[in-house]
Amino acid sequence: MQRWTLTFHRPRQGSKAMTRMGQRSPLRVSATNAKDGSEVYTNAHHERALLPSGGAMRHLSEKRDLAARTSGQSLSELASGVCETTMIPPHQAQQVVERPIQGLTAAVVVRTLAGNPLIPLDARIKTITALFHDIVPSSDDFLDQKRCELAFENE
Amino acid sequence: MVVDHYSLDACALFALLRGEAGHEVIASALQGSGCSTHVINLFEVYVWFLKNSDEAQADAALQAIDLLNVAVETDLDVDLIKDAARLRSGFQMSVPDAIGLAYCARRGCAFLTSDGELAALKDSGAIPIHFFRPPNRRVRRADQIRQALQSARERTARLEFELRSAEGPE
Repeated sequence: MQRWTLTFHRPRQGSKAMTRMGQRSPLRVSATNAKDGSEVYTNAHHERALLPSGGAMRHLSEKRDLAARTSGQSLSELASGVCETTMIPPHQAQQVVERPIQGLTAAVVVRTLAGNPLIPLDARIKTITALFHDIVPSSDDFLDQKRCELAFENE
Repeated sequence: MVVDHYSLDACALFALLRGEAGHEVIASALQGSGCSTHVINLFEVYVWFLKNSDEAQADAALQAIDLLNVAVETDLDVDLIKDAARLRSGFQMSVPDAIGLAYCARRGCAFLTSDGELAALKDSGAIPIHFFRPPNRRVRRADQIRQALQSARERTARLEFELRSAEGPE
């Protein structure tokens, strides 16, 4: 399996690329082959495949096929790319990670990550914390809730 | 005591999933000597998701924990239950914590938590307990709950006395 790293580039404000894309996606994506270092810049068509802008679960297979055709990547490789992008500053990583899961669930993304053993642990941690940050309670809140239940149980 | 393995409390699992303060300590343990969690602590995570979210998210959370290389220990036998019961009878703690701690004592690993309620047990030195961040806020909250409970008890006792007086012979 080939490994690609996706890099997200912010175009200059008011650039042609941004105008062409109707400002829907201010990011440009390039894919770098980890083996030989070759780099491919994607066009807006690729980007729609790489970063589904929402839609329902039933389109997932279509998007996967489209992504595979246009960039030669499997879905798990795309997720790997998302992980790689979490190496960039957290506020940007958060946006990037959120984009491909619009309309999808954390469950789908986690299953996708599970399919790629190449993803290093630190990238997994960053991606998973970005996915679950707004879903799980803080550990303090969890402990408070648990302590209340224990107190009532002891009553 | 040198510890080469950590067992994660449910709150540590939440801190890790959420990426909150102190999760770097857990991540470092994961990348170093490795971490596990007892299945009873995983149960707490699953219950929280079922109560507050849905089953798909609950399954995703468990799968995410697996993806983070947290091994799940399923040891649960009569001896472990006895050890857990001894701990729980001596210290203030929940059943899952007691089982998780008894497992740590058996395995010789440290319990990684931020639960300030376990400070007394940590001080006793009976079981190695490591806090992945200072548990101060948690302890203050526990004190607030205790005070609220004490007030509720006093109010109940007062009302019971008033009820008995009202129901008594004229």
